[in-house]
Amino acid sequence: MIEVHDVCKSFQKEMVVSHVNVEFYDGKITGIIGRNGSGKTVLFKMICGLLIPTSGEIIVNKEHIGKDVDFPSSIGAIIETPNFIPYLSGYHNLLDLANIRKKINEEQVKESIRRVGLDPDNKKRVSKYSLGMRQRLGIAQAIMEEPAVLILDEPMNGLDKQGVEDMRKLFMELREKEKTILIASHNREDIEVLCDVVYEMDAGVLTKVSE
Amino acid sequence: MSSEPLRKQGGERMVKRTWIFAKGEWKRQFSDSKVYIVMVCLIFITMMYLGNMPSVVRKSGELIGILELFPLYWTGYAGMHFGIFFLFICDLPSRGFGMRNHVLRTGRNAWFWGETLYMAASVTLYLFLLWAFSVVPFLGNLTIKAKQWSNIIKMAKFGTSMFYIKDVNYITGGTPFDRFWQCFLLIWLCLFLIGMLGAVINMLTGSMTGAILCAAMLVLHIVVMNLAKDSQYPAWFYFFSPITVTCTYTGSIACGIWQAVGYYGILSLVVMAVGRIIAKYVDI
Repeated sequence: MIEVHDVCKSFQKEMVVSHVNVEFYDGKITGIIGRNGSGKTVLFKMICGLLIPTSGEIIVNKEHIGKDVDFPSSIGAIIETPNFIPYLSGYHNLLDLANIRKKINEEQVKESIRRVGLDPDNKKRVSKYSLGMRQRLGIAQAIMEEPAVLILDEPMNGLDKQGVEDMRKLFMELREKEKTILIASHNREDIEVLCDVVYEMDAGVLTKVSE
Repeated sequence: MSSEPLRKQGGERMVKRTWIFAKGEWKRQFSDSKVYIVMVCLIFITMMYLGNMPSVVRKSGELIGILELFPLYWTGYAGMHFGIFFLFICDLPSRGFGMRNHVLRTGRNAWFWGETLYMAASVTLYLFLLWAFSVVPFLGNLTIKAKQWSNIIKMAKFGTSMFYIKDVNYITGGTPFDRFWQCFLLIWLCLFLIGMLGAVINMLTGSMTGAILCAAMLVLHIVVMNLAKDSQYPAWFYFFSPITVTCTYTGSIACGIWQAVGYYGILSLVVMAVGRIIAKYVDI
């Protein structure tokens, strides 16, 4: 569960997230729609711990971000365009990351790559990947360690129609595993098809649209 | 139940994650093409600096100790060596190449200490590279001699305005081994200090402001050097310019090697302490 208590964020004098109070529950996919620059990515980064709120607090699975921990201990995130070490293959990039916490083995890394429709035995360097392939790899990176919380910022970017269908099925499977899933998108259809709860973000203000 | 085993476990995890982050930074930095530019610059400077000295040495049959060349090579073009090093570390901490994925898994502390470890390793590698570049052209005329200077080194002069010590006899006053490790230690500290200062400011601003500041220090050194008469720099300048200290060993701050090492060592610790606080709260 994610609790966001009266969180604000401003850069210099501009308020980009304004007094957000919301809770996100396990076993639900919550969608946030909003145009570019509305504050969705900033809110997601604060939940991940990458940005420090100007005021307010964020608690993820009873861990107070910025006080108890720097980042939530069980989180997978894809924020902005996924970046990887360009001269390594997709598999080796993810293996590198998996070796940090050693929560999963090589076979599980390969399985997560297959789940997003990529070939783990493909030796192609990430620098040669298309945008869609990088996006899929980014999603694989986010889900591979079976995190309790998934933060997905525009996950369908660059994906073709089949890719979008595949990812929707994947996220629904993950919901069945009682994960807390947040998805941000400017595409209303993605949100309406997938999400149990929908919020709209406009000029830093979050409002519930439907449940 | 004692919390000692938990603290020990936490400490071990921290060390491991720091190491992993530093390795990741190594991979990220070495995937950048600027590494090739750095190597080309080093080759070019070596050729420019040594000139026909290797062929003179070969003809004379003189033997040169492997420890003798490093202090000489450094001080001949210290400003350029700093400049090339800045090029190598100017974009630390790296923000691309999946750095965020690493930081989310290692934590902010491991991020900072990993960057510090990477900086220390980079400085060490860079100085060993310089040493290798100074020594390789003389292969066939090298010896492991630590007790006395060769005649070639005693005779070498590279222009009084850039020379290491005003009086050439000073450089040969101690043993090559003493001069080598003193030089290495002082230059290591100065490079580490400037590198960390640049990286900490880059971390704070999220841009390359730190790198620009380091470049400005280099420009200041060159300007003051050109204005100084007979290499007499104003005494206060040594407190602000590690670059100048490594060029001119005899300065009011470096009247003994240990004063300079102590001073720049303490400054490095201060920069690291500030950097650690910044890393805890900065936006990534």
